[in-house]
Amino acid sequence: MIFGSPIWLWLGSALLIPVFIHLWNKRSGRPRLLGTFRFLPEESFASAKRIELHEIPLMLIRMALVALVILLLADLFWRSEPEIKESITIKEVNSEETGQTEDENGNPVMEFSSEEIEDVGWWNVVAQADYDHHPEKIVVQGDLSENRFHSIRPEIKAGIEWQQNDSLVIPEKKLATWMGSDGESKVLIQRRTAVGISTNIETPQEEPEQVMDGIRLILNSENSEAINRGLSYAAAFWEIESEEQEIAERAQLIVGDESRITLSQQVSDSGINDLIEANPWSGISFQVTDMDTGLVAVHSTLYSRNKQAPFLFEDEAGNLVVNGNPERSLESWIFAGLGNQLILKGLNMEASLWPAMDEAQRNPVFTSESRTPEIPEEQRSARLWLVGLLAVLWLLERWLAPKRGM
Amino acid sequence: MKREPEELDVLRSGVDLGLLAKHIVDGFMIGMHKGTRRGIGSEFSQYRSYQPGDDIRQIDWKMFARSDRYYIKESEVESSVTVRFFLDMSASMNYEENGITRFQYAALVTAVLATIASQQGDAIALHLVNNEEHKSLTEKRGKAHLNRFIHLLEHVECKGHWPKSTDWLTDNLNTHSRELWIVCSDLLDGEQRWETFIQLSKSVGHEIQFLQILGHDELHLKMEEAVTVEDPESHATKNIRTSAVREQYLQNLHAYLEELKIGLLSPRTNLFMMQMNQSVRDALFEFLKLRERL
Repeated sequence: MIFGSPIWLWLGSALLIPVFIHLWNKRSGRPRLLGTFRFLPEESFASAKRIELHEIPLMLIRMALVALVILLLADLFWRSEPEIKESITIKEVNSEETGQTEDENGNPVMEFSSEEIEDVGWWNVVAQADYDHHPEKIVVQGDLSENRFHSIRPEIKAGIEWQQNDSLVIPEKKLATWMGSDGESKVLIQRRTAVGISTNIETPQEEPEQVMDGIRLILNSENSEAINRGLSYAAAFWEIESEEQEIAERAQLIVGDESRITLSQQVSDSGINDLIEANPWSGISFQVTDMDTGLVAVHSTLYSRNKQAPFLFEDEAGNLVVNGNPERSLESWIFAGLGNQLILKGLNMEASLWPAMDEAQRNPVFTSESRTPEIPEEQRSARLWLVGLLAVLWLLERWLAPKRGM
Repeated sequence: MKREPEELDVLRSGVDLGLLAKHIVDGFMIGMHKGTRRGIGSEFSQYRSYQPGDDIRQIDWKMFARSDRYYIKESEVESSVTVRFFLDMSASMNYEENGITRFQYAALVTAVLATIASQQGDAIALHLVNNEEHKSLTEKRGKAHLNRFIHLLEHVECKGHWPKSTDWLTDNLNTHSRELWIVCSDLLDGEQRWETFIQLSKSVGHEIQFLQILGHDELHLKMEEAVTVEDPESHATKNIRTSAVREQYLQNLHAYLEELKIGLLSPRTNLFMMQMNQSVRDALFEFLKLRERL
């Protein structure tokens, strides 16, 4: 029961009014002479000063009438408690056709497609189920990879049982296949292991169907030795053929006959940027400025959040920006990283396997307190009931009062 | 709002009963009964032929001289009756409504009727009765007697109940002359108490007029919702809720009144009810008009 205007409940003391009225009516004062005394019936209904047993029903009815009026003023609502389910199973299915079924105990089983889970995330789904059905336990069956826990950890009341559905989990994934510098095809493959995901470049047992052929990295011979050494290191890592030529860009990755991805220099107001294809989504640019030549990229300043003179930072588009000339000893490594990025882009590796979410990390914040209900449908006004009851009691009172003479 | 009858107001203020009665009597001049009969008297009525046996002193000799026949001259003469008032002096007459007791009201009614009777030349007698006491005034005419009559009415204490036996009355009975008995009471003592009285009056052959005086509140049980009432005669008390008992009470009362009416039904007996909230003048006017018709 909840009240729209609980302030009226202060009128509860008015329940005593019928008692006072009954006692007040008992006053009779000085006896009056009545010549027709003998015509009075034997039962006068007022033979004592105290409240008698036969008066109590009427008094209670009157008290109930007062109580009903107070409840009407206080705007009483019935609050129907939502049906508490013992458990709810949220099941990920590898299909577009989803729905809701029941398990053998009559508890609901809600199905979600893998796409929905990837979009919404497990935590949102779990929180919604907890909010809607108030179950004691939520069983989650599906792929429990890290990428499916991308929303904010919710607060929920139910207990959760996570069940990894291995049938939905891809055990290994080939990210790219290319022709290596040694004339054999190479494959970048990810595998799930007991400890996580392992990524390896391997030589496949069988010849793959699609192999990127003719992939090689052309280095500008005008680059400093440190830059070319770093880039060459990246090429060697991916077992890609590399050679030095006179080109305009710092480096050029040639894939097949036509596709060329470049690591170029671009002069802007703030200095010189090294860009992969100059596309913001490439995720990296390399800015060399004359102003910051004094900066030394030591370990402690490698990722400074100091906006005044950061060496490495993210710009507004989310690109990783290297600001200033790195120290000579670091130059090769930075360009090795840039080369690595260039090759990753060239090999067109998009999706990758995600490790399973750590068990401690995937639990939501549990709370014992129920959240404020925001479902108006669960509140029904009791006004109609109260008015009906009031009418019935009033009729009863009118019927009984003359009989009791009160 | 209903205006209260002014004479009740005056009565409550304690004015002389005789004066108030005379004031009311002046208001209407209709006689209580036909107080004349043909015979010897002062006022001429008619001539009739002399019949053997007539008193020769009644012959109009002047008429004989004119017509040479014997005529008897008749005139209307006062035919006085004795009006005997019986006033209930029982405790139930102490019932009070609007500051006036039932006895005060009955006394005023009696005084008015006695004044009218006296003015008509009738003899009036008074009996104030309860089971313990009997005050009486023998029948007489004249203004002095009326004054005594009223004086006696003014000094009465009501107690006890109406006597069952009629011994007190038999000693005072006058069976030789015509009498009208007027009984002023609430007649609430039960029909049986009145039986012997009615039997006696029938045996004597007098006409009895019962004037039953009841309070308006008594008739309708108009009182506070919770009230303690006392029986004036037995002094028993009862706390009542008027709304609860009213229906049964009225049923009992009306049954009794109906029974009483039937019990008093006889050619020479008449019952007339007065309500204490009614003006005495209006009530008596109505009563006398009714008697005119009878």
